[in-house]
Amino acid sequence: MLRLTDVGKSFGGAQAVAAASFSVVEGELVCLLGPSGCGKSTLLRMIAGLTEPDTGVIEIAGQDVTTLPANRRPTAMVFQSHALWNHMTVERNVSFGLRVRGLPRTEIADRVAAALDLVGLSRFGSRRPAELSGGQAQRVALARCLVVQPKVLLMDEPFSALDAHLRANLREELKALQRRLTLTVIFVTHDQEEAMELADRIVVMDSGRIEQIGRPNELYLEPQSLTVARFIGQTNICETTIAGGRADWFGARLLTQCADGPATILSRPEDLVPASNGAPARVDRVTDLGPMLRLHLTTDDGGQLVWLCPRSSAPQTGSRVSLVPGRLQVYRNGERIGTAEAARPSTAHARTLA
Amino acid sequence: MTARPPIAGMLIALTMVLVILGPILTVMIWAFAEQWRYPNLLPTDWGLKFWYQMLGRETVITPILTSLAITSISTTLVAVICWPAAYAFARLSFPGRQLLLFSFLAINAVPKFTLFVAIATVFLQIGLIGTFWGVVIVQMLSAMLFMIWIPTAAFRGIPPALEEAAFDLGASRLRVFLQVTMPQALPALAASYVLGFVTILLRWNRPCWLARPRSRRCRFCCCSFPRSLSSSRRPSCA
Repeated sequence: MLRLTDVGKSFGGAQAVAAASFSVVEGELVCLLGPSGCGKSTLLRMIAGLTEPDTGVIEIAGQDVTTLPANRRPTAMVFQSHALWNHMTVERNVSFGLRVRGLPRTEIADRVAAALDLVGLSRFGSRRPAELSGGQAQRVALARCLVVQPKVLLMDEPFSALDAHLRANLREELKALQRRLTLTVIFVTHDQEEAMELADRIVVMDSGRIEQIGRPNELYLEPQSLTVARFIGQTNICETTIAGGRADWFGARLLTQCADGPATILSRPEDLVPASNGAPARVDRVTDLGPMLRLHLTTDDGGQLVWLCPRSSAPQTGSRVSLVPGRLQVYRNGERIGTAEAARPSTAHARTLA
Repeated sequence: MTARPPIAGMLIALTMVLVILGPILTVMIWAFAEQWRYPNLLPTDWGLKFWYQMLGRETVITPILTSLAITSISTTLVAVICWPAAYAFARLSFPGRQLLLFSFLAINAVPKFTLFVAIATVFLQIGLIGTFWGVVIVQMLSAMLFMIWIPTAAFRGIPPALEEAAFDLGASRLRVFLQVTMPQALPALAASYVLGFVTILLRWNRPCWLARPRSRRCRFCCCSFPRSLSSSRRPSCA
């Protein structure tokens, strides 16, 4: 449905987007995720036609639209600021795109009513945008785009100005609507939780470059770079050296297939498990998250660890534990080079246990 | 603590109303008074006698109409030229933008006389001296400042996303400007038009210096109508 090939853009010498390439199939919801200033909004604006790319080709439904202005592209965009026109009623706002297309009045009325019904605002047609709440305004903005039946719906951080509870509701509504109408959506966000929840696939961006494209679980379980790993979810980071297939992890021994040399080893807080041959550490602080507890630990060699552990088995602040990571990713020069696993307890030790 | 009626606030409001509306009210009453002498609070004779006298004179009605025509045409022309220019100042970035914007202030910064001497030289060469359009062009200068600066600020205050949303939904640039940008900026544009109109209407001294020595505009006749006034402010070319 949408294909980008080497799309790039610079602003006065600063590279905003560098050679971005990816494609989106029909009915897919893809999130562009990254910290602010990473170029995700610029990329979205280039897809919309509001910003002209310096290089590359943008195709929508097989047609090259790279040189088409925004008003002639089959896209519609929902803005962060909802961008409703205060001098028009909700109805006039929603019907704008249809009036521009010169459709017959009866058809416009029908389609506007259907679009407002879709976002649950049938009774708000005669209101002014100033009389709506933030969530309602954003729904109207969505209806205004849906009514023109765009091939690709673009959303630029549409929920980021709303409070957390409302944001979660709207996310669910959007996801349901997208499934029901099989909409093709590009959704820009800096909130990794939002991306994980909404997206079929996530495009992680940093400093104008695409770091990784993948399904949410792929990005979480096997982040291809340190940047992605740090951006998605919490991580425990250990700088170490691999020698002869072995590495030291805060005092615990790891086995790995990776080549010898310096390495950065990442593990997720929920993947730590207590083990007799683990890294010795002391519990500094316990944060109650409700279903889980988050423990901040200091290892005996001075490293910092975060451990998410079930309420039932949680140790007290100040107590000593011994942990190994159940799942590990190994990085060198920022790129993922493989995995590692904790060494089994030594045979001598195992024998005494037996 | 119980809420007291805001007596101080009401007193201030009342004073403001008296100070602002009082003089206007007096003028309104005088306009329809035929006889109003001291101890009477209101005129003893009402009527339109002075209106007939004033408007009955050919030397009054023609200048008024000329004045209004010149002012309307000048203001509208300035609006047509300056509003799109203001939009460009607000939205586009081009070399020399700030300098150009400040140059409109410069019209009011230099002594007018030197400016008009220069303009008169040009007008003489192209034969505009003493013509209707010569006056219109000179008068347009007076309103440029308001018609550029106020709309520029207004257009800057409109979030670009509002225009982008309309453009994105398929509207042409012109349609976006007419249906989204203009309505949003309308209060400011109207204010700039009124200010421009009033400025042109009151700048009666400019054209008499160079453009139309024999022209009789409204302000001249107002000054010359009561003879006593004309001696203190002699309209040299009326």
